Formats: sequence, C-alpha cells, structure tokens
Amino acid sequence: MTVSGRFVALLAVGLVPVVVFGDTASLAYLVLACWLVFCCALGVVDLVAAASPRRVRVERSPSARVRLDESVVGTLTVTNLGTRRLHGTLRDGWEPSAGAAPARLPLDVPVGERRLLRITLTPRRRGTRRSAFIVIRSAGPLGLWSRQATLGAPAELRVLPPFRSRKHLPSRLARLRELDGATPLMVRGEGTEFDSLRDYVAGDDVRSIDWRATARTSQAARAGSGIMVRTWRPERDRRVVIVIDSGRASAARIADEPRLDTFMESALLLAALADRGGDRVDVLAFDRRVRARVMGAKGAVLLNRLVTALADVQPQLIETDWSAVPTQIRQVTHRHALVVLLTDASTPGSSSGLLSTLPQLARSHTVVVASVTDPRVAELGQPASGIDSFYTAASAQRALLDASRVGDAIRQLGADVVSASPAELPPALADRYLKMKASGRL
Amino acid sequence: MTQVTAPALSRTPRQGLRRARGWLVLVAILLVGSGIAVAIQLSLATTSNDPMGASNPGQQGGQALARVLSQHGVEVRTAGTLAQARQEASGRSTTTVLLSDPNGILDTAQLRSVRALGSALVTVDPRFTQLEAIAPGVGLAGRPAAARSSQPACSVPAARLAGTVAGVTNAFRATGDADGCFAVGDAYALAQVRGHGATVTVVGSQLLDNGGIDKAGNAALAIGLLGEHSTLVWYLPSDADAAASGPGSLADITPGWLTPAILLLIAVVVAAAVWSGRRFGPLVVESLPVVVRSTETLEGRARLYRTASARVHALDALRVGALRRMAALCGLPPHASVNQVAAAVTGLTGWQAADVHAVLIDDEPQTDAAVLACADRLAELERDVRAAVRGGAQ
Repeated sequence: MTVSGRFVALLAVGLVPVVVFGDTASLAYLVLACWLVFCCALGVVDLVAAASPRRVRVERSPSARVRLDESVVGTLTVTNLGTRRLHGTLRDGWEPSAGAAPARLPLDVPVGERRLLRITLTPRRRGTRRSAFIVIRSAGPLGLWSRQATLGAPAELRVLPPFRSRKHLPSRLARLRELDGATPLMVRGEGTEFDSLRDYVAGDDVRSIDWRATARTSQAARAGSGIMVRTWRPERDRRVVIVIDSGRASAARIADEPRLDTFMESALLLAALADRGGDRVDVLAFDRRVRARVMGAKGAVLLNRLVTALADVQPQLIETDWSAVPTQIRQVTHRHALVVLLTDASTPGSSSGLLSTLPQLARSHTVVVASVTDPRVAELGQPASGIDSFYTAASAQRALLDASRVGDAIRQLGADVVSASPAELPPALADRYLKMKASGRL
Repeated sequence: MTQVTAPALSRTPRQGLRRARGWLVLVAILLVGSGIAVAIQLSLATTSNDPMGASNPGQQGGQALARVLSQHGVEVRTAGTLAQARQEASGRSTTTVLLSDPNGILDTAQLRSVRALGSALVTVDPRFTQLEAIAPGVGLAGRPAAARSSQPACSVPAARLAGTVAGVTNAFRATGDADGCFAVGDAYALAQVRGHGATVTVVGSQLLDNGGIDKAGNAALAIGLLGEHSTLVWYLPSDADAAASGPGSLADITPGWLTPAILLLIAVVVAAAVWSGRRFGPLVVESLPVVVRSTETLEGRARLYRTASARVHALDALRVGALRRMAALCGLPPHASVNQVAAAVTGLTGWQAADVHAVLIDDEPQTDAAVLACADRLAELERDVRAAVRGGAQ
C-alpha cells in the first residue's frame, strides 16, 4: 500500500478549512480531525476500489541474446484476471547494468484483456543479466492510495562479447585471399601445397617456373609465352588452439577494459580469420578449470558458439594452473597445432607458471603468447619534472624491462610473443597468424 | 512467448499482519503495561509539595491538621483558585477560610473577596501587602526574641483554650484595633482583626504545619481557630489567580487555528514521506566484477622507491631502459655491454666520453635535485642520439 502525490495535495488543502473555520482552538481541532478522517476515508474507499495487483498473468518474450553495445526490445504481456480495471504502474526488476528503459511503465488493462509492454534493454556489462520479478502498483479510481505487489517473473538476457575487432576482419580476409593460390609470387615454403599450373606472366618469380610442365605443353597451346609456372596455396586444415587465461591476471583493467575482454576480442578475430583460412579452431577459457570450451565448430556456427560460450566467462581471482594446460590441449588435439596463449606476460613473478610450461608445449606445437601492454606504462616512463614523477618513471621503466625480460624468456623457450595495446592486440595477433600461414609455419 | 505464472513474492496485508503478530502482541502488552503503570502512579500521586498543602505530609505541609480537622467533623475543602474557593464556600456564616499565599499571588481586591467568603479567615505567613489589605493594624515583626509563650492574654477563644504555644519563629505587631495573643518579646505569635463581618487571624505557619503542630498547645490553637465552623475552605492560591498585567502572552496573540494547522502540516509531511519513500518493489542485487587497476603495482613500487629514497636504484632503472633504446638506435644487439653502447653514443653525439660515462654509469647522486638533474641529462643524451640517428638517416 502506498499513497500518491494527489493524496498529499488533498491533505494540504485541509489548511484552508482549518484556517477559515478555526476561530477558536477547539473548533480548529474539530475541523482538523474531520478533514483527516475525510481524507483517510476517501483513501480507504480508493484502496478498496483498486484492482488487485496479484490477479494478473505475466508473459515474457523468450530470453534474448544481444551483443554488448547493442539494444534489444523485450516484451511483457500483462493479462488482467481480476474483476476491476487495472490502472497503475509497472516496474521490471532488471539488474541496473541491463540498462532497462523506461524504468517505470504506465499500465492500463481493462478486465479480461491484456496489454503488451515494451522495454528496451541496453546492457552495459557482458554476461547473463537477470530480472527476477516485476512490481505492479495498482491505483484506485481517485488515484489517492494504491496497492502494490511483487510478482515472480524471471527473465534472462545473455549479453555477448561485442566483437568490436570485426572491423579488422575484411582487410585480413583480403590478405588471406592474396595468400591463396591466386598469386604465384608465393615463395615455396615448407608447409605450402601445390595448387595449379598456369601461364607465366611478366613479374612471376622465375623460380616458380615448372620446366617439365613447360616441356609437356603442346605447341598449339603456346598462344602466350608457353612457359608454365606452378602456383602454391598455403596449407589448410591445420589446427589452431586458442587458450584464454581467465585467471586473476585477466582481471586487471587496461584502458578501461579488463584484459579478459581484450583476449576475447583477439580470440574472436583470430577464430573468424582462421576459420576462413580453412583451419580448424578450438577455443578454451581456462584458469584452474575449463570455463568455456568450443570444439569442432565451423563457419557461422563457430562464431555463434564462441560468443555464447564466452559471454559468461568472468575473470576469476585465482592463479591459473599452467601445468594443466598441456593436458587440456592434448584433449583437443594430438596433432601439431598453433597454440595461442592469451595471457599476461609482464612480470617474471606472475609468469613463472607460464614459463615453466612453455618448453613442453613448444616441443609439440607452435606456440604464440599474446599479451596486452598498458599504454599508460610507456606514458609514465617519460619523467616529467618533480621527484614523484621521477620515481614513477623509474618504476614504469622497471615494468617495461620486466616485460621485455619475460618476452625474451618466452622467445628463448621457443615460443613467439605478440604484445600490443588493447585496441591493437586483435589485429596484431591476426597479422601474426597470416604471417605464419604465409611462411608455412603452421 | 513463454508463459509465466506469476507467483506473488510480496506479502498480502493479511500475511503481513500474521507475520507481524508477535510484534503487535508485544506492542499491545507494552501499551497495557504502561497504562497500568500510569494508573498506579496517578492513584499514588495524592501528595503535594506546597507549603501548608492539605495533602503535603512533609515538615512544612498541613496534612496532619487537615486530617485531624476532618476526623472532628469539619469538612475540609481544598481550593487552588479563587473561583474554586468561591464554589467550595458553603455559606458565609458556616465557613472558615485558611489562606496561605507565601508568594503574594493575590492582589488587594482578591484578598478582600477571599475575606468575604467566610466569617473567619486565617491567613498563614502573610506578606506586608496582604496585611495592609485585610488586616489593618497588624504588622510584621520578624523573628521574635522568645519562641515560646504561655500568655494568651487576649480575647480570642481558641488562644485562651490553647494556653501555650511553642516554636514561634514569625511574630506580628498589633496596633489599633488589632488584638495580639501570645506575647513573644515585644511582639505576638498571633494577631486578630475584626471588621467587614469577619475575623481575620494572622498566624505563623510554624504553629500549624506538620513540624510544629505537636508542640505545646499549638494543636489546640489550630483546631480552635479552624474548626470553628462546619466548613473549612483550604485555599492555596496558584498562578491561575495571578492578575494579568503587562502585554499579553504569546498564547493570547496566536490564533486558535495555528496549532491544528501545524499538526496538519506535519501530517502532510508524513504523507509526502510515504509517497516518495515507499519503494517500488525490492532492491535488485547485482554482483559487480572486481576492478583491478593495472598500474597499481607500478604506483606501489614508485611509492616504495620514494619511501626508501632509493635514488640510485631508481636512476639505474631509467639508465637500463635508456641504454636498451639507445643500443637499438645505434644498431647494437639488445645485450650489448654498457661500454659498447657508451662508445657508440659518444661517437654519434659528440659528447665527451667522460660525460657519457658519468651519465650512463658513474654518477651516484645523493640528493633529489641531483638525481633529477641526472635524469634530465640522461633524457638529453637519449634525445641527442635520436636526433643524430635521424639526421644520419636523412
């Protein structure tokens, strides 16, 4: 039960009779008592005449999926099962970060009818956003007092990773196509495969001329130069295993984005690219146990399953168990694979687990360690005036040195390092993949 | 569409009442208990603290006298205001009035109307103005030389019956028509004036109060004075008798509707508080992620350097960073020794070899100013190397 502003105003109007008729104190008290009783009686009448907020049926639209940064409209159907017209306000109990708008919906449902309400959800956080209940406040015909009830009507909204780095995908796909058999300029590498023979055109590498094929070619066919060149296409059907570290190192925020989200962006871009490149992509989010795993998916299904699986992964405040990672990868594939470890490699202390596991991984796989660098560290590394800034700069330099030491150690253990700022890491990792594919190192 | 049967999560008023039953019972018990306590308090609160009060059992009270008089068939009626006293007085010939007004509340006119209530007026410890108004010829004599007197020596019957009084601390003079009894020194313990159809007896309170009534013939005197008629009006004037004087009080000039209007406004404020304070359903709990700032360790280490004043240590960090960058600029491998880098830098920039050495290795500044200067020199050297390399490249 609650009162409305109209009731407050009605009470305040009582000041007029109290002043006008209240010549003596006792008379004024009498007028006051009469007014209060009058107002409360009106309120009680209003309350009794209000529709029951409990006698409704609530139907929700099925739980939706939406990318972060985008909006979705959820619908809510309220059926009035009571005997009076339901007039009032409705609130949907979404979590604040679900970004529900409007927060209050006007409600006017005649007896036996139902009304469709639309709520726009613009989530601000990745993961599953929930609403456990709705609240209906049913006002009486006078709008003085109203009844209120909370009804259980659970709903879920799955907020997927935004995949902002998909803007880099077209350019990388173009480069992937260039790698493909279309061009003979490809140098012949270890992992490349024979694609086709075609006529030599000016500019082709002379080393790619296939003399036997040239000799075999009939005179009649020698309309052009008559010299045949071999073309190569990059290897296909290689394995790419992306391991996302969801441990405590991924919780740190860099440029207002947790490392984990940057890792997801990178993983999504790389997965999309590698899938188009004909490779098989498996993704794993791991700290001490597997938080998400996507295996054996291809094409559009892959990205769909990836964003769904990664939507609910949050950084855990525990240290990642790197010694268990080789086992996890072995469960994915026994073959040689490109293993991309998305983790933090900035201090020797926090990376010791990673470093001790790398030799084992590097023996059987091509390993790339991708980590996020903080642009602010480099910024702070330039000393400005003042002793505080000097010490900060020294500390930042120390951090940079630590990071480069860890990078050197990783390279010495036979793995590759990609490190870039949050905005640049996804394209940098994609470029590294293309480079490796071009040189046949997969 | 997924259909949801919407179970009510909030309680209905009836459920709420049932849930709050324990509290309601508790409140009811408290209310009943406090009601009983108040009733007991009221029934016990029959005593007063007024001097000469008929229900005051203290030393200065008059309860003993009032009780004895009522046991002897005198109807003792207490009055707190003049109007009340008028109501209580049955008839002039059958009424005695006891007046105790130590604060001088009554004015002359009121005193005279008190005198007109009965045929006998006993005024206890009067003030000068009272004496002037109703007992001309009687004056105040202050503390007497003797506290005891056995000489009634007057025509007052009660005094003659009493014979002796003791414990006199307040004496009066009698001149003119006034009749003085019980000489104490050159004054009297009791004085009586006749006139206007009544006798006015002036007496000190110490002869009548609980503390002094049992001495010598005090009791006999008191009973004789006050038990003369069937009705005794025991009148202690209160503030309500005070004559209004000067400007009217705040209550007189405020209109009658003010307090009810304030009460109404309070009700409006309470209603407004309910209006805006009533929550629209329960709060929603959201588990938020932990925010870990990535530069936290960096800043912590900077503070550690600062607290420990690790100037050289901090400067070395800057030097190693600069050496790596300069080695890269000079085209040396990343693990080139300091001396190699220093030599290359000397060659590129034209700095003195000793200066370069000092900046890169030798200086160990001991003050903040020196370490800042050293850091500036280092930055300058790096800038020069960069400029030289870029210049050479162009």
